[in-house]
Amino acid sequence: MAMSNKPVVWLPFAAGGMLTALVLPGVMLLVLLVSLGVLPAESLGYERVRAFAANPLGGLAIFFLVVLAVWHAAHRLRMTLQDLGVRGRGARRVVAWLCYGLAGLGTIVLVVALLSV
Amino acid sequence: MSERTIRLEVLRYRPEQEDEPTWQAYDVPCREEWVVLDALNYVKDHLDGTVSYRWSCHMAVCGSCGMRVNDEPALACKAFLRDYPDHIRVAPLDHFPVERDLIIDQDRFMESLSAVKSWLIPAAQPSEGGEYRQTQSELARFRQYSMCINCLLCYSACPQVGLNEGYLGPAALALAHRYNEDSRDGGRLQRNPATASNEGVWECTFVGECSEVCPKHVDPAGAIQQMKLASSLDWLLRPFRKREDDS
Amino acid sequence: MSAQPYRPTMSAGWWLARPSYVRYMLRELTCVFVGAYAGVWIAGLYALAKGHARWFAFLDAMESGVGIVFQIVCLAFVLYHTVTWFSLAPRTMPPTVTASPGRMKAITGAHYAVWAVITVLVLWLGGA
Repeated sequence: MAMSNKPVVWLPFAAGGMLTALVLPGVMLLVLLVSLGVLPAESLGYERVRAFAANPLGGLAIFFLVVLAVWHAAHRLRMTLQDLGVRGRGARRVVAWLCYGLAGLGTIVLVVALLSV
Repeated sequence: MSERTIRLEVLRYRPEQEDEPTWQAYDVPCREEWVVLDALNYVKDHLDGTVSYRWSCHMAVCGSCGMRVNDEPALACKAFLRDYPDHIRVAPLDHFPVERDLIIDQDRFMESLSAVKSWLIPAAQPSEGGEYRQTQSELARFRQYSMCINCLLCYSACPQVGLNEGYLGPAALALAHRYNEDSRDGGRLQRNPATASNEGVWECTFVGECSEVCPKHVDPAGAIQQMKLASSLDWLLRPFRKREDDS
Repeated sequence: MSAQPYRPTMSAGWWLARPSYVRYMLRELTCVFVGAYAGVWIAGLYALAKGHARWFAFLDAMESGVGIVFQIVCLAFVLYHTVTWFSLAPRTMPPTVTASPGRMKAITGAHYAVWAVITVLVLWLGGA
């Protein structure tokens, strides 16, 4: 047995779990209320959101929230798939690569999007 | 002197005569104040001497009589009949090989205890008087985790123990934490190759059932989460430590 | 050691056997909805970067029947994630901090307080 490198995925899981728990419901509620027309549509108007995302602080805030949410979800999904029946070492490796790969892909697309906003 | 007749069903396993466990029922006249262990002892003394199980102190300190009572991990000496219906099923603890009847093979746990070095690795020699000195608040950091009686109820409750053969398990890890948190101890880095391995704390997904069933309120789940944080810090600081500090 | 110990096996449906296991599995499955919501927003931000028309198409999708249902379902699961996360948070702290059940409740309560402040802030700044 040797010290594992799991912290590399567990720390984002833990940070992402805390951040999503604290911030995501508020954001989701905001978007939902705009979608339902309860809050004015201008709240998510193109120029308003674009300005926020293009702003260095705003962009960083979006980046951290989305990236940590995605890596939190990826690690949890990986462990849950193991709970749900993925037992063999080979299969587990495939599952890990798929989960973190998906998160990595999302991260790249997000970075591209935020940089070209 | 009120009596109650309990139908006690025991999951028998006799390797010399069967390949799989089978249920056997006994009707036991019980006293009101009895525990499941008393009913089992009645069976063994009066009805069927072949029933095999471990027990010792009859007061929830030795950890010998762990078993599943109506599918819940419990100490037979702490499971009061007054809390159960008239039909009680006892089975061996889950996730362990069954040697006979209610007796499980504990080797896996014994190996885990060795692997995590569940003993004091002194940070320094004691003071001139020959004693280690420790304050109340230093004791408070680990006392809860020293209450473990090695009853293995937590192993039965933990699905990760069942799903992952190499997982060290809740009690072994909680005991490692007990020593890591002891101010007299200096062995955390020596324990890390086991506790911070893939078979250590990282197999835990905080289901939390271990802490729910623990008769001594050790909270192994909490211990493991605290160790995840500590291990992560150790992992981050690894490049800055001298090679020989890590085993 | 016995010559043939009986080795119990664990079925893939182990988690259905007990209510606490089911709650655990629901808690873990919240990650699917966290991930899906984040993924949808990555697509949204990509649309934002592509300009006006794509952004409004994204908003239209979010406002559609499917979009609303998706948002509500995700919100329900994310709230379950929040509630379970806050109740477990005190267990990650040393016993000297969580000395009593009262302390544990206070720690969880503090999480909710921060959550409430952030939620109000987000709604106020965002909806203004």
